[in-house]
Amino acid sequence: MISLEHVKKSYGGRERPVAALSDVSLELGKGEFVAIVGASGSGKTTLLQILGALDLPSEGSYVLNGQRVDGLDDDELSALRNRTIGFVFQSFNLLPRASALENVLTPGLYSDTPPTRADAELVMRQVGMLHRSSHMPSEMSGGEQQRIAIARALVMRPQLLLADEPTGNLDAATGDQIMNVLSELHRSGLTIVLVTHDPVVASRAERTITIRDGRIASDERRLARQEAVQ
Amino acid sequence: MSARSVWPGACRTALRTIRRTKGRSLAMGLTLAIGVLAITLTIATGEGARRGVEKSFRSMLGAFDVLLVQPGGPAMRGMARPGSSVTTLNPGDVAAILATVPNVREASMAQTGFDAGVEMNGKSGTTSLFGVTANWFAIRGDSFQAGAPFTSADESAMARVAVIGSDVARTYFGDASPIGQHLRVGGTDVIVVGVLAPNGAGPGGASLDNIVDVPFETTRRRIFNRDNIELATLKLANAAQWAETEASVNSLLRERHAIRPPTLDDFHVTSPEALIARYAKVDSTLRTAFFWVGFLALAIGGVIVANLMFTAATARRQEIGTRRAVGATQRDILAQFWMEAIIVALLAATVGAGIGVALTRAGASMMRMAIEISWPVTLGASAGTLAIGVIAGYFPARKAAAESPSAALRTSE
Repeated sequence: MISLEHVKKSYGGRERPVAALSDVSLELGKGEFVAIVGASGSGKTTLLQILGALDLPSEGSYVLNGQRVDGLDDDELSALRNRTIGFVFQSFNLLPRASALENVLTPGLYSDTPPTRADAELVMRQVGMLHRSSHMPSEMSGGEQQRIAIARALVMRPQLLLADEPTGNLDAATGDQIMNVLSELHRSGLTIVLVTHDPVVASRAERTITIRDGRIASDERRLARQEAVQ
Repeated sequence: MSARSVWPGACRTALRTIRRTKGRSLAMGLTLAIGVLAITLTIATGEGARRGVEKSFRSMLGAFDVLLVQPGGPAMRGMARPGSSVTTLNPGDVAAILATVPNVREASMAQTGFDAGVEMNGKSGTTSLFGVTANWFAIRGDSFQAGAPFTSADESAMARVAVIGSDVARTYFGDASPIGQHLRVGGTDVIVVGVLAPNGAGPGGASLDNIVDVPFETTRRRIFNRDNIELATLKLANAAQWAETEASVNSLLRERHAIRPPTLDDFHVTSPEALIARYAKVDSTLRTAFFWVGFLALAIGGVIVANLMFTAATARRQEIGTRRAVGATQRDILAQFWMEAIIVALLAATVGAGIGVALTRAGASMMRMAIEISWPVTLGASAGTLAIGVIAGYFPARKAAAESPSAALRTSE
């Protein structure tokens, strides 16, 4: 489903370019649940942003669902994010002056085929937040806000869900509940990539990719490990 | 690419932001609204004053296609000063003008006495007594609410007849018809033959309706017993040539009065245009000042809008990044931020103009002020405000839209 080949990404001017990703090649299959781990500054967030079509690689190629992503223009990238990719952020990133329902419907503003209110209520029920639909973000707990954010990521029926430290601002118990929601989505067939520095969170995924200094340091499948144990 | 229009969504989002951040929206729009209000009000008063001046001059002078000749030199130039002791203008001068200046079609003459005593039905008071030639009413274009003007036959006969102003009629005759009634004015009994329609107040504010007009020959021979006149009104065949005609009258009278430089003129000629232009100049100075106050408020309002929108483009980077992540294009972000400024400007223009119009109407009806809404100015100021919103909002919106989604999201971490 996802194929990165020799992706490099550097920031800054020409005089002192800072390499965030040195040379990353990666294959992700449909329905995988992958955790990307690494220390801060390792390049894991950069990798997630490239996977999410928020940023383009400086070099290398990115193919998503058989479509070359590098080479798309800004409007095409926006449309791709709108239709194909859902995002969940560490600090939830809800619009503070919009209700839960309005937040969930935000992607519809940027679509030819906006989701209906019923669509929004369906995904809110899926994350257990239908009863909060008229509440403002300031009236909700962190865990509730993150559930609304997940509903917003799901409302366009994306093929790929990207989560950047989704439990980073939550206590352990609440974080665990959010991971249960993601695991449930994975079981229903959604492809999920999450970035974390928390090994406990990473252990919920099937596959863990470790990034160090802009390169893939290790790529382990839990399923493979379990087979080895057997 | 899709043909999805970015504007409907941008308007909805902008309206929601405006509604839910009322303090900030107020801060953006208030100065703009004040600017529109100031321009609407000041031009309304200015416009009203200008029309008021014109109207009162028209009431006083009657007609605009005339030249006024008065005794007294240029040092005393101004409006008619009836009853002055200057005696340098006489019927012979007027006859000579009529005979030799081709553009003067007709001339009326007036002798005036202020504070002439009036008595009737046991009531007494004072009035302005005019001795005027019979053509005076026609040249002024006076209309009558009762009766008719006296005739040149009355004049030749030195008839004791009078045309009275509406104030005099009301004061001395009440609801009864004054026509055919006697009135004692300036020590002489006269019979009322006509009542003038009300003229209102003159440029000085005094009523133009407290007057009594009697035939010129009657004041000349019977009441004032003098030959000099206080005013000659020259009706022009071609009003556009008033300046040339004024020059001809000037040279003719200088010759007749044997005036050579450096001796100063003992008469002066005025045109209604010149009088009004002098008033209008004062008026336009004020209007210019008022206009700049409003203009300044609009300019400051534009700077405030631009400033707050630039602040928003920075402060709301997380919102921008999030919207981009869920699919907003650069045009979506541009449209959303731009519409915020445009809608605030539109609301400010509507509120400012609305309050201005309401205050103008209230002032006009409650305080009977001479103010009048100038729709071109009010609509122009509103359109200008909208234009300021469009311009002041564009650059911050462009900045917000140019933000790369990945950079906008990173700052929030």
